[in-house]
Amino acid sequence: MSTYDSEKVAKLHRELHSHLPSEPALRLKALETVLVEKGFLAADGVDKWLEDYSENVGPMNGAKVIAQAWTDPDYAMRLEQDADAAFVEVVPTAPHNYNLRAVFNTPQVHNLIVCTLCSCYPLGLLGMSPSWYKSAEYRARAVRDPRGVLSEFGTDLLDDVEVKVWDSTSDRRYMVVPSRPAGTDDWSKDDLANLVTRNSMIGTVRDLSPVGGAG
Amino acid sequence: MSVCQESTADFTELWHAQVIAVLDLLVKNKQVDPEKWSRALGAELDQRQSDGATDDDANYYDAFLTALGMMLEKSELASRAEVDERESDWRAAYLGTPHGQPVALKN
Repeated sequence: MSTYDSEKVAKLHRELHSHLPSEPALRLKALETVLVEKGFLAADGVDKWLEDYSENVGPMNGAKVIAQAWTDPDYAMRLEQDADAAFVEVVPTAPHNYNLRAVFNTPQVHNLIVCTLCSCYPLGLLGMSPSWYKSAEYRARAVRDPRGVLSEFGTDLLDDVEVKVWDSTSDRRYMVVPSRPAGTDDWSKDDLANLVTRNSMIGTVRDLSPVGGAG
Repeated sequence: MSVCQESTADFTELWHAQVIAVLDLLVKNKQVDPEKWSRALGAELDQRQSDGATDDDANYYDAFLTALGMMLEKSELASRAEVDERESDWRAAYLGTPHGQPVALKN
């Protein structure tokens, strides 16, 4: 015959319904609490960061910048010379301290970005990097076998195209500017921006040719 | 495994975004040196790879949180003892709060 322990049942009930966070989430909550109590973080700092991220940050920022560069040669030159400043011209909310460098694909050159040390990426401009960018496998193979990696993304380069791999660091981030696809001469900047993908700004995708028409 | 497999969501768990936010804010406030941070995260990721950890987001964010905790202890911004105490406080608060009510620490 089973025993009935009301206190045990009540405790189990509380645990089931308390929405106790996962262990790492709880640890982070504790860490954040300590930092706030000691004055190293504002009490609403993380919430405000998340709000700003969701409203202002993401690959669409890079896409707008690239569409501008495709349609304005002077802007493209400024982007090549000082990417942080050029980025802010198009995305005024963008931070300007990334020491960002824009590297331009050409018919002869394809650029690929990695961070071999950890996961450096222009987060505040382009949003969080994809999972594979942070993986040990990508970080190792992008340098050792870039053509093999590109092939897994469906990007098969001709032998005469040079691959340049750029290793990001804490004080130097990169963004690939893909080539403007043929047949888009009369497209609006918004339509052009819609062609640009996050992977193309990392360099794992090269061809942005539209499947259908604009709009 | 192909490297190009990925989720389309930026963050699969809220705390993943929150830990990135904490680090980003500390770097912006110049309380964490970005170069030291890169080295610390890289070392933690390398160690986990040597130990045979899975090469996925769960491992990455666990490494991120571990490296951040160690760095903040080393720089005396948040000691392990202080964080342990607050973790215990939050656990008690969650377990002691009836379902549907906001969870808060007692002063």
